[in-house]
Amino acid sequence: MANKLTVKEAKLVKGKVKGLTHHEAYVEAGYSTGVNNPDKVARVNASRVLARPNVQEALQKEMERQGITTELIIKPIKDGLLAEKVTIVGNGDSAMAEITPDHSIRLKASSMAQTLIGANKTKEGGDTYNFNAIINKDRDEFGL
Amino acid sequence: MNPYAPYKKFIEKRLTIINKQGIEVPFILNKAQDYIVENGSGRDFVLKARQEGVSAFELACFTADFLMKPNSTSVVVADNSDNAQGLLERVKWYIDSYERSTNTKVPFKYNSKYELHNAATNSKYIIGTAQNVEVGRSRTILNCHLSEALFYPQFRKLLASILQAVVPDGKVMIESTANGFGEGKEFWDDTVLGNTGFNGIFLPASFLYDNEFLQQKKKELGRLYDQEYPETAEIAFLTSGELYFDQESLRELLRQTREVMA
Repeated sequence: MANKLTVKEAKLVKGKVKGLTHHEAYVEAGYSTGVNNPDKVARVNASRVLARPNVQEALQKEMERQGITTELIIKPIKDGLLAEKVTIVGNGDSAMAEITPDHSIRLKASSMAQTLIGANKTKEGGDTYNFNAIINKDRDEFGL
Repeated sequence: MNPYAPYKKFIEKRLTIINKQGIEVPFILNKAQDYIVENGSGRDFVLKARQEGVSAFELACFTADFLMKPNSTSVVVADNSDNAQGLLERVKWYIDSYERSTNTKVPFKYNSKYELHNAATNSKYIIGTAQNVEVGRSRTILNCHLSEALFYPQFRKLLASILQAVVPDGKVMIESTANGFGEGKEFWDDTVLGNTGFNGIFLPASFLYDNEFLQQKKKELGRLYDQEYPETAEIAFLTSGELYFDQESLRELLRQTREVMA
């Protein structure tokens, strides 16, 4: 069972579900960003807080409560994978609409899908999000 | 609190090493490494016998910081480029064992011959050689390990250079087997007298090896035995390097010395 959320963690979760950026949600939750490079501090620290297991659990519950389900998140990716575009060929009376695959949208959707299933991890590149979640857990466990 | 204490649990749970039989095993600290965990101050000069695992331990601690401490820079200096490569290979092994233990991948920004850069934490792990006395000068260093430091061509100059770059609460370890009389021996003596700001730790051979092993080594190494597996710091310095006087006679004279009466 994950730990309860602190007030700031709960506010951060609410902010994210409202659609705020990491920076906005972090500041609105009452966290301090310092004066040096506050945007980066907010983004990095927000990622760390959001990767905590209790925050992840709360985020998922809150999203479901708002009707943001996994199916809903995946649907635009599925649509993107099948995206088509209409091109007008010719002009005047002889103009015709030609429907062709929109590879630009399809590739973006494909990249998102790969990220979701973890298929685009590489030895050199790694998976920063997954890595951050693990080192946050290890920091707490080992007191480092 | 001892600066090395938090690392023990991490190392033993997350990292592996190849043991002397060539088998991968969990990295459980040995007696010498545990001694450093208990007695290290974060500014230590460790004089030791061969193969006691001091570098292995320190590199593992720095690996933990490289993985988890944001914006940290850890620098390891070796006496020559072959040893530098060996140290880097060891670090890469630790990272690989961490990745397998946690089923993750470290997001490297780059992973070169002498430098690793963790993109997630913006931390760096740099391996240099003592031939470059300017190593680390223009950086801000959290951790510094000088491996086999008494074999450096300009030990004091390099130390002075690198200490200017280390942050006040950073860790610095000078580690070496003895290498005759010279500036390294002077630095050890000053350390023991409390004049360098470093904590002197001597790890005798019997600390880690049993009598049977040491007797076997004595037969194999002859007069080099005391250099490789010393029991006291004095013997270590006395028997390493080329000496003008007879070693046995010097050792006997050393035995006869008395502490100065107050």
